[in-house]
Order: sequence, then C-alpha cells, then structure tokens
Amino acid sequence: MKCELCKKQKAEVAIKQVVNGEERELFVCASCGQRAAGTLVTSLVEMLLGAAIDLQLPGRDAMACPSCGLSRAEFRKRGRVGCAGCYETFARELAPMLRDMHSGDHHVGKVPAREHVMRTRAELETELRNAIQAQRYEDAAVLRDRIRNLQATARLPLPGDGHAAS
Amino acid sequence: MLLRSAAHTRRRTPARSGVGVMGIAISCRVRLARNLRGLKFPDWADEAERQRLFDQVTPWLATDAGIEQPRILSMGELDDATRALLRERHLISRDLTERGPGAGVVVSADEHVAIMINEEDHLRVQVIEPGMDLHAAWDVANAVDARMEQRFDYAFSSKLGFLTACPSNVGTGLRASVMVHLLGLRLTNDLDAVLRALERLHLTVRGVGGEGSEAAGHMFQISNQETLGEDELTLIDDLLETVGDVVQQERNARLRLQRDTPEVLLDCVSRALAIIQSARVMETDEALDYLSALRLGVEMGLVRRLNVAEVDGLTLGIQPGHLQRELGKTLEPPRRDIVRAKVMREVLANVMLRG
Repeated sequence: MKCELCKKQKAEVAIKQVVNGEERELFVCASCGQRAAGTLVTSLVEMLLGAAIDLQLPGRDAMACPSCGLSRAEFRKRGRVGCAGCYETFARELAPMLRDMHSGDHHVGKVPAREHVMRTRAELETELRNAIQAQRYEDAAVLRDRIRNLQATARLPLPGDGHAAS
Repeated sequence: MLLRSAAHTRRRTPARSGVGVMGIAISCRVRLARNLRGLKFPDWADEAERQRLFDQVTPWLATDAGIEQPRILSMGELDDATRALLRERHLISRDLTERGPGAGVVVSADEHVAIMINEEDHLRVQVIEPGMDLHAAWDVANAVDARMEQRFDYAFSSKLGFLTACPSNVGTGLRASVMVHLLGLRLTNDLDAVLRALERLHLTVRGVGGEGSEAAGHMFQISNQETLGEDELTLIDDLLETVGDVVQQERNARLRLQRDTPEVLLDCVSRALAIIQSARVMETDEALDYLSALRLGVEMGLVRRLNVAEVDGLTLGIQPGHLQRELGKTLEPPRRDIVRAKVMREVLANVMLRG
C-alpha cells in the first residue's frame, strides 16, 4: 500500500487526521507520519498518552465519561478531568500520570466524616444481621437506632442534589 | 476601602529592625482543594452550572464556614484593578483573576482565610499566616474543611482521596507553601544551586515576583509538589524541614556577606536607596528589587528611619492594583510608573544609611 499523503513511499504507520471536522485514519509513510505528528500533537500529555495507544487502538477516543460527557480525546488534550467520575472512566490513562506526579499510589490522610459514616454504617449493618441471626434482639434494637442516627446526619440537603452532571 | 489598608493585615510582619532579627520566611499558606460529588468540575461545567454552584454555596460559606466578617466577592462584578489588588494580596490566584461570572471568593475581613469558588476546583480553602507557622495555617484550614464536609458531599475515593480537576492535586488536595526572601543567597551567588537542590527534593519553587519577571524582589514560594501518598502533617513537616534549611542557608549567606564582603552588602542597599530617592519613573519589578534590598538593609541594621512593616506596606502599595486603588482611578502603565516613583520618593525621603 502506498502512502495516502505523498502517494509515493510505502505506507508504514497509521495516523489520525481531522478532515472537515471528521476524524479519519490515514496510512502514511514514515516521513509523512512524522510531519503530520508535528502538527497534530497539541500537547505533551496527548503525545505521551495518546499517540502510542491511538496507533494500535483506533476508535478508543470516541469513549466518553458517562457522568460528565468528557471525551477521551478531550481529557488527553486538557490533562484534567471533567468530574469525579472521570477518575474511573479514564483510570487506565490516569495511572501512569499519577505515577509520574506522586510517589504514593493511594491516599493517606484525612477522610471526610461522611465517608466514615458510610463505612461505619456498613459495619453496623453486618453487626445488626449477626445480632438478629443470633436472636440478640436487645443488641439489634441498639444497632438499628445507631444506623437511624447515622442516616439522619448523612442526609443533609446538598447543593449537588437534583443537579447531577448530565 | 474594599479591604483593610495594608498596614492592618494580619500577615504583616511585626515592626522590627536591627542585627540578628531576620524575617527570611515572610508568610506561609495552606490550601485545600475540594470538589463536590455529582457536579462537573468548573472548567468542564458551563457558566450557568458554575453560577448555580456559586449562588448555592456562598451564602453558607459566608455564615457557617467559620470565616470572621466574611466578604463575598464575585469575579463577574469586579473591575480589573480590584482583581489585581486581590491577587497582589495573595487572596486569590492568578487563575481566578482571569475568570468571570460564577467564580469568586469568600474572604475574612482580616484576610486570614479565603475560600475560592470555581477556580480550577469547586472549592479551594486557603489560610495565610505570618512567618512559617504552617501548623497554625493547617489547623484553621482543617477546621474550615471540617465544617464544609458536614455540609457538602465531597468527591472522594478511598483509594485516591480527594478528587480534583488536575490529577496533580489528588489525595490530600493540600498545597502548603512558604514565601522566603533570598537576596543574601543571590548576592553570594548561591541562589541557583539552592533552587536546583529544592527541585530535586520534589518541591516546587517559583518566584512570587511582580508583573514581568517572576523573580522580582527575590521572593520565592516553596511548596510541596506531591499530594498523594503522605498525610497532611507529613507533607507539611517535610516542607518545613527543607524550608528551615533554606532559611538557615540564607542566614549564613547574610552573615558571610557581613563578615567577608560588607562592601557588597552596603553597595546593594545604598544603590537601592539612592535610586529610590532620585528616580522619576519606575516599573513594578524594578521597585520590588529595590524594596528587597531595603528589606535586607533594615534586617541587617544598615538603614535608619525605616522598619520592616513599612517595607511590607510599600511592597504592596506600589503594585498596580494597590496604586490605582489608593489614587481612586485607573492609570495606564506609563503613568503608573511616574506615580510609583513619586510615592517611593516621598515615603522614603527621610530614610538614611546608618553611620
């Protein structure tokens, strides 16, 4: 197959080119590919994260974050996420970025009280089930009240309520 | 006056002068980045979404976040000079000054605590303290955060901690920084080596600077680069340890100058004073450099009729936002340079070299 750009050399690599707003894949020779890379690659992040993967897996860019709609291509271009959900959507791309930025790979430090509440609640529910199974009904009543109290503190009205990212 | 005048801010270094008293660490800051679950981060949200968040959170932040005599400032309503003024007082980031409706800040009257809304993240709490008392700044920021977390459902993951728009802030979301004045190391030609060493320690160093050059006034902000994998106090203590070393090196540089080459020291201070007292046109960065020299002169006991608080006041007062606020009108840069030179001349007219 001949290079789709110079139509002379043998095509060796696949590149992505935006033509009339539509992204299509071109098979080009090494020198045309290099020239195109200079104009297409818009950021270092995109170059590092995007180019290598794109050549092997065309079409992956189409995937967007289900929580906020940020596309993979847009995420690469910006190097920033669109919402908390992006950390799951783009986990694979984020992993090497996080490795470069931080020496640790998991959070150590402050945890919001609400998260404690969630964790405690799961623990209490397990205890409650155990108490009921063991027919320790007095304990179960205490546990039930503690869970109810937790719910009361955890369900304050929030600015996010009713306006979740589309 | 929008905020209290320069002479009354809490972060002001106490007035002092004389040999041995060296205010090398000028001020410090703790910043916590927080986002709300279920909402797009500010740069991906549209203006209506940002405005809605701003309208929903600011009344609560002003009344219940533990901020004394809060002021709510909306970027959409501020003129350029006021934006510059807030930036010069380190109350808002450069990033926020360029934002419009939906972005803003809730700031305490004493300028101790500020919460930026819809900067890169939904909420950024910052606390400024004099010197390098980062623990005090952390205590206050932590207390504000504790109130906020009761009210807001934070974007948080048990693995990655607090989730932020930029992955470089995830984990603690904490950026601690100390502003240091390093003219002594510049004069002994050791500054570049010290700055390079800091970068190898995974710390970020940047000039605080004025308009043009980042290094204007020889003020540098040293901050932690990494936010994931260490707890808040470890990050703060690691930073303090290194900054303590830098402060010691600066102190040693000053003592070496005083002992070995007092002429170099005196030359730096006396030139600055001579130019200030005769110049008719002066740009911000140039003024900051001379004020830096005078600060060193005061701290080394070389200057009479001037104290550090007055240097602090001028350092703020001659910057574009403050200058225009004081005059009550907008001035083009060339005109500002003339007014700035006049202010410097007048305020420092009676200052003399010691002995």
